[in-house]
Amino acid sequence: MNCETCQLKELELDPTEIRDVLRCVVHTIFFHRALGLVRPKDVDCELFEITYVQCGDAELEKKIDEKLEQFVAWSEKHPNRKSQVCLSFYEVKSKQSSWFGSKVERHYWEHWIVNVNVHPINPPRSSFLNNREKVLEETSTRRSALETSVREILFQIIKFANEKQEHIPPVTNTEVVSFPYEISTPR
Amino acid sequence: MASSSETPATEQVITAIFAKSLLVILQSRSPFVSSRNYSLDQIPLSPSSSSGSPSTRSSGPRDNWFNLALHDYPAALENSDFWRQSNLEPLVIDILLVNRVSGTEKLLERWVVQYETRKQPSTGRKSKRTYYMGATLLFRSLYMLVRLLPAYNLFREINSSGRIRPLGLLHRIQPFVSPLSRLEEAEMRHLSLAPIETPSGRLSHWVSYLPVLDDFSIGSEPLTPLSTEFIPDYVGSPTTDPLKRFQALPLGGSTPICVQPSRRHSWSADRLGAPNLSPLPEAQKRNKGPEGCYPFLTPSPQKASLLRGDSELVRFGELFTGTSLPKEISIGGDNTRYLEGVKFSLASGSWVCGSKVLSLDLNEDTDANYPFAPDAINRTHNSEGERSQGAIVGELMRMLKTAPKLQIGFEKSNSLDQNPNPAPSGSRTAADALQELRNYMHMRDSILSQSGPHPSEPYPEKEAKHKEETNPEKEMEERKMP
Repeated sequence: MNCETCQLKELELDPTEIRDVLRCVVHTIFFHRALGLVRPKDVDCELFEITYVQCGDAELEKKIDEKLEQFVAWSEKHPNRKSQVCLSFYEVKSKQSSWFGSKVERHYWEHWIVNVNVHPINPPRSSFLNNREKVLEETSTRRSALETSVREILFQIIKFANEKQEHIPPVTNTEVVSFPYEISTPR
Repeated sequence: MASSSETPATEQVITAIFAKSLLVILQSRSPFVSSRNYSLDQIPLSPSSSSGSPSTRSSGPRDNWFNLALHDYPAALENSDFWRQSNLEPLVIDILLVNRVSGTEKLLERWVVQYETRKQPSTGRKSKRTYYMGATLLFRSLYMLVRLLPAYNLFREINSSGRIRPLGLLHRIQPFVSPLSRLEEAEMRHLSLAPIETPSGRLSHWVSYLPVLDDFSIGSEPLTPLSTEFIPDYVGSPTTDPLKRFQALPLGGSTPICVQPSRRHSWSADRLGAPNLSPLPEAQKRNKGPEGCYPFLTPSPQKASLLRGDSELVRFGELFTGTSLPKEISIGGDNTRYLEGVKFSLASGSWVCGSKVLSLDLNEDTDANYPFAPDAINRTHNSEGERSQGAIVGELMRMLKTAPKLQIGFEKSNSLDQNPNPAPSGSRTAADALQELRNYMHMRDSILSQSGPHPSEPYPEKEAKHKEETNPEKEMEERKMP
C-alpha cells in the first residue's frame, strides 16, 4: 500500500497565533479523514474571517489541544526556529513472529506535514510607542497575508484529499475517526 | 427516474448525491435553508465550546447520507428540483447577489453537479463501496469548500443581521448550464472536485466563483429606517419646564398635535407626526379621543378646550391662520400666571375658560367691536405693555370665571349697548349691572387704546361709551319716573 505525504505550505506565525492557526489546519485534515458518521461543527477562527469544520468528537478535540499545547511550549523554548507538526494515519497490522508471537506494526498510509516558522513579530517596545500607527498597519498587513496563507493551505488540503484516494484503507469501524492517527510535534 | 444503465442501488446513491449537494450548498448560501436558522439548537461556533458527543447537539431529523449528518431537508428544498426528470439532467445552482434598491443581480457562484454516463460501463471495477467512499470524501471537501469561498462570509453577514439590507443573496436552480457572459468568464475562477466514478458513469462537481467580493460590502445602511424613539424627558420638555412655550408646532390646521402620555399607552405620537410633549396628569387623560388624541387635538383648527386638572390648565390648541401657539394658562389659585404672547388670527374660534364657553366669531373684523379681540392682546411686546395686558387678561379671566355664562358672539358683542349683560339675578340691582358694564367698557377701551384707533371707526370707544352710558341711565331714569 502506498503512503502519501502532503507537504503543506510554510506558515510564519507569531507565538500568539499558533493555537488558532494550527487548530484550524489540523481539524480540517481530520475532517477529511474522519470517515465515520460526523456531525460537523462550524468553528470561526479567532484571528481571521475563516470558518473551518470540526468533526464534533470531544476526544479528538482534546487530543489535538494537548498536542498543540506541547508544540507551543516547545516553540517558547526554541524561538525563531522552523519546525513541523506531523499528522499521520496508519493501519495496525499484526505480524506473526516465529518465536515471540505476534507483533503489532503500524503501516502508515498518509502523512500531513504542517511546516511552521515561529518567531516573534512584535517590534521592540520603544519603537512601538514611537510609531504606533505604523506598527498597527504593519500588523494588519501581516495578519492579512497570514489569512491568505491559511486559506491557501486549506485549499491545498481539499485538493490533496480529493485527488489522493486510492491509498485510503477501507473503513472497518463505526467510530467518528475511522483510522488510528498520530500527531507528532518536535521534542 | 429515467436514467442510465446503473443499477437501482447505484441510481439511489446518485440521486442522494444530487440531493445532498443541493443541501450542502444552499445551507451555506440561503437563509431559508441555512441550518443556523431552523435548527432546533444552536451549533456552537467557538473552539472552546465543545459540546461533547455529536448526538447530543441536535434532536432534529438529520440526513446521514455519506456519513455527513446534516439537518434534514427543509420545506424550502423539498420541491426545488422537482423539474429534474432524471439524474442525467445537471443540477445548476446559481448564487446571486441582488440589490433590492436597484433590482440588479450579480452572479457570485455557479455550482454544477452533473452525471454523465460512460459509453462503455466499467467491468465491475468500481464497487458500490468504492463510489460510496468517493462520495463520502467528496462531501467532506464540498462542505469545507462552500465555507472557504468568498460568498460564505457575505452569507454570514446577511444572515446574521435581522435588518433588511439593500443587498441580499438569492439562489436559482435550473436544469441546464447557461453560458456565462464574457465578463463573467473573465472575472470568475473555476474549481472542480474529483469526480465520483460509478459503474456506468461519472458524477462531477465544479464551481465557478468570483474570487473577490470587496465591491459588495453590505456594511451599508439598512433598507428599513430605524425605528423612531421618543424621549419623554428631553431637555426643555414640558415635564422639565411646564411653562415652556411650544414653538415647533405646525401651522395652518392641517396637522393635529398630539400629546403623548406615558409609554404604557398603546398609541404614540408618531402616527400623528407630532413630537412627544409631556405626560399629562391623570385627569387629562380621560379626555382622550379615539385616536388617543385629546379633544383639542383635532385636524380642524381653532379649537381650544379646557383640560381640567389639578392646576386647571387651559390649553389652546391649534391653529389659527397666522400663528398658533398653545399656551398654558393657570387660572386656578395662582393668578400670577398670565396669558403671555398668545396670538390668534381673526379666524373663528372659541375659548373655553373655566366652566365658561366663550364663542367668538372672529371671521369679521373684530378689533373695533369685540372688546376681547385676542389679537389686540398681543399687540405690544414691551414689558410694560405685557404687564398691562397680563393684568387686564387676568382680571378678565377672574371675572369671567365668576360671571354667569356668556353667550355672546361677535354680533352680540356689538350690541353691548343694548343688552350688555344677561338678566341680572334678583339680588343684583341695576346699579350693579351698570357698574359692571362700565368696568367692561373701561377694559375694552384700555385694550383698544393700546391697539390704536381703527380706521373704520375713528372714535369707537367714544361712541360706544356714549351709547352705553346713555341707554342704561335713561332706562333707570325711566324706571324712577312714575
